[in-house]
Amino acid sequence: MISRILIANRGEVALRVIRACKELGITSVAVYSEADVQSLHTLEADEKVCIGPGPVVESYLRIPCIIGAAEITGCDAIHPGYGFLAENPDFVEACEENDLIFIGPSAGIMRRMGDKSLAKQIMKQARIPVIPGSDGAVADVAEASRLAQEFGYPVLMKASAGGGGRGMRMVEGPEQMEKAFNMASSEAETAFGDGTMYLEKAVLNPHHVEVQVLADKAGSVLTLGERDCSIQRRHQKLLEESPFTAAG
Amino acid sequence: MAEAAIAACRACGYENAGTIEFLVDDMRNFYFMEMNTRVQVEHPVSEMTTGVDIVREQIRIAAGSTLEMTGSVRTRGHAIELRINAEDPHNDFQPNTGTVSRYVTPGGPGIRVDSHLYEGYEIPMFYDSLLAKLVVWDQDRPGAISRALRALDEYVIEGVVTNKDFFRGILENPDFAAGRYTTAFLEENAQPPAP
Repeated sequence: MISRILIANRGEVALRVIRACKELGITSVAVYSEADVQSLHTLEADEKVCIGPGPVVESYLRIPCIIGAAEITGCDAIHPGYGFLAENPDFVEACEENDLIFIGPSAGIMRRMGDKSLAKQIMKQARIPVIPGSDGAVADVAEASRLAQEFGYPVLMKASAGGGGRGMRMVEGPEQMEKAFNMASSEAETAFGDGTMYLEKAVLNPHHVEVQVLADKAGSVLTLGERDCSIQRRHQKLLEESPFTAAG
Repeated sequence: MAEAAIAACRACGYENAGTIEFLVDDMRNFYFMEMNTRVQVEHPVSEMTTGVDIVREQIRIAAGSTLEMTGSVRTRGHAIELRINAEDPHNDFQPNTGTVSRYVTPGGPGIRVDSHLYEGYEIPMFYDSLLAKLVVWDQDRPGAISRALRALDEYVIEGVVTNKDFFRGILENPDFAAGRYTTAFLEENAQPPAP
């Protein structure tokens, strides 16, 4: 049973969770920064706890503050929303250690799927098609060049810890490799604190299609159709639609 | 792809809501790209076409409930989500802030607005530029596109510059209407909307 949920987020997604809580008869507890005193999630939740100043590193990303807020309000679960701590396995572990249900997968699953190259290996073993690429991290420019030669240009250099297009570079030919590798790696180091790179063959002008899933503790899986998320600006999605019906 | 997604969940012993991302090439070959282990911004389009409340299911699953249905849900109709951001399409989509001075949300059949805006709200400078998700549903894709255009007309957000009108150019584009688009669409159609 879950009766009180702390929502470790703000904005529209925090409201989304508050709405679900209300419908389920669950008490919602908002956390908010000093900049969000008048924000709707702060005003709409049943209870609220201020967790620090406006900058996210001083509030919405501070794991001890959020765990503390859940404890003082007697919550039994935390919903992370998306962004912020939603895909941080350290946060999931902190919840587990404090007997708080994290509404999401376990830290172990999150860690495996969060490591882009490991996730690909797992899928490859399950005979799910993956884009030809390096099996794991690419050590240096020389190895990247050798692999790119093998798969054929163009290739993409990607950050293992990455997402949202950061730490990613398209490499059209061998002459661009050194610069692309170094720039992507240093960008990844800055953005994620981890400059590890992997490489894959670029699929030109693809559709970006995703399948929504729900899976329960018993291992049953439900899929909820496909979403075409191809309308993107600099790898940021702007328009999504379902089902995926696009013509060739 | 749905079958591959189920196999992917089994392969990693997945639990709760997630998304499997695929790249699909012009021959309709699909490749696993990554798995997102969270609820996503765009989850409402799936809620609109399946009738399943994904966030509610997340909570139920975390509490130990089992799914009432398994396999693949049959979808119904067509849904489109537009991400309304505090970004200026006339100035390289620079993020900006402001105080919402006038706010009127669209209504009527098939419309859903997920947003934290209200009249008088001062948008803090520290956070993501997403202001609202305008989601529309209709029985088919042309209907959903018309409904999205109608909803954009009704939607008034004043006091902060948004990318709202940028979507008109996408929705009215003949290639988009015909479903002929890929991830290259915005680069190929890069002109900003008329001022």
